[in-house]
Parts: sequence; C-alpha cells; structure tokens
Amino acid sequence: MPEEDALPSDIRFGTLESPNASSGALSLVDVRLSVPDVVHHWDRCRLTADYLAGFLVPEVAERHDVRMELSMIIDELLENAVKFCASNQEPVAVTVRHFGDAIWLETSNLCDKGHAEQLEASIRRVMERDIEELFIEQIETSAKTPDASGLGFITLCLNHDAKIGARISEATTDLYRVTVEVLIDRQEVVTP
Amino acid sequence: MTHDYDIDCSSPDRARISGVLRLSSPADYEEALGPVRAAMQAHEGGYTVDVSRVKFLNSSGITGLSRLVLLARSLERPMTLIGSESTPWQTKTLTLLTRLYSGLDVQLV
Repeated sequence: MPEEDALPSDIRFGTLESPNASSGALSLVDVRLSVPDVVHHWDRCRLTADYLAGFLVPEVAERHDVRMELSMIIDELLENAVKFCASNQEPVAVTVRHFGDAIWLETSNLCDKGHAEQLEASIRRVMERDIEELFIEQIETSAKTPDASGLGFITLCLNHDAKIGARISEATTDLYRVTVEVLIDRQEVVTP
Repeated sequence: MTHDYDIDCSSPDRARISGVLRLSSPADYEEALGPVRAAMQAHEGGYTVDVSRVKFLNSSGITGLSRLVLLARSLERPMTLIGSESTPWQTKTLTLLTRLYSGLDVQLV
C-alpha cells in the first residue's frame, strides 16, 4: 500500500473525560453482540439499547422520557457500529459507564480501511464544523443516496448535547479497530 | 421492529404523526411515510405535517422528515410543519429545516 494512501496507524481525536473518571464508574455494563446475529435480527440493537438505558435509568413515570432518550442515543451508536463492522470474527462491543456526573458510552468494532476513513471524516466534520450548517448540508447530500442518512453523529450533538471522540488503530494488515466514545453530561440524563 | 407510532393521512391536506419512531433506515421511513408523500403529490395546495406529538425520532427519521420538505420544495408548494415547543429535538430540528426551503412554515405550539 503506498504510504500516502494509508491511514495513520493510530489516530485519536476528541478527548473526553468525566471529572469523576479517576475514582471509577458507579455503574459499568459491557455487552458483546455477534455481528451476523444482530444483522439477521436487527431489532436486537434496539433491545440492547433499551436494556442498557433501563439499567441506568429506573423505570418510573417521571423518568420515562429520559430513559427513552438514552436508549435512542445508545441505539444510534450501536447501529452505526454494526453497519460499519467489516468482520464477523469479532463481536461489536458496547460499554456504558456511569460516573455520577456523566454517562460515558463506547462502541468498538473492526472495520475496513474505507469505512475507517469514512468514519474519521464524519466525526472530524462534527467536531470541527458548525453543527447546524453541517446538518443542512448532510440532508442535501444524503438526498442523492436514498438509503443513507449520515445524520447519526450530527443529531447526537445537535439534539442531545453529546460530546464525541474516537480512536482508530490498525488491528491487522487490512482491518482497523474503531472505538467511538460519547459523553452525556446533561443533569437530567445522568441523575440516577 | 417497533410500531409505537401512528401516521394519519385521512385528511387530504394534512398528516398527523405521533409516537416514538425508531425505524432502522431511511428506506424504512420512505415506506412508512409513503402515504404522506402520495398525499403531498396529490394535493395541489399547501400541505401540513403535524409532528407535535412525536416524542422521539431517530436520525433516519429526521432524514425521512427532511425529505418531505425537499419534496415540497421540488413540487414548489407551500408546506407547514407543526411541532411542539416543549419537545427539545423539535424546537432545534424543525426550525433548522426552514433553511432547506423558503416555502416551509414552522409553527411551534
């Protein structure tokens, strides 16, 4: 592979940190999903997201919307990880940590070079561009590709005040490990 | 697949969408919103889409909704979107959609 075409072997962008991270998470859930299974039973992304949100937010009437919002956020991340996954040999991982002042969500999966580049570009755009301009631009762009949205990360920031970071590292000669991190620090979401 | 939503196109000039929509892709929304698209094409005047009772809509759904605005733009017909002031995603997203089409009127109630 020519040098100029290669992704750097280890990219990290966006530094997310909870003020309480050093003292450890109050809650931690780590779930692994088999990719062929989830692709065949797509609804299992939503079921997993519902479970994780339910684990963190008690099911009481006044917190129903908070729980639903958290499930929607996890679902967006998880579906993205499954869609970008290039290998059936390793499961997609989703980890949720609750630090008291913030909820940290993380997905990890293997993908090919093209998807790694695409993901890097889309997260960089979200971090560097005006989010409202990007939202409109993406709608116009995706109108030309009927089954693409490309709004996942954009709406996480725009509608849910999420902070996003990512790590991309070379896993094998032709696969990259992608870890996407999202920090939710809105009080109404993180209060247990 | 969840069906915790309702799409009512019984009026010729207005659709009412309600519930929680988290279909898995824009293609799924194309199918679900097909009757709305058909009604917009059939009705020669302005068309109203009321989403004020949509509590949550995922990113594919926001793409689906935005494509209704693009349809109104291509038809060169006025469109009204009714949203809820008390639903945070609606106040941000619906207002932004006016940038897609000057013929779109957003009313937050």
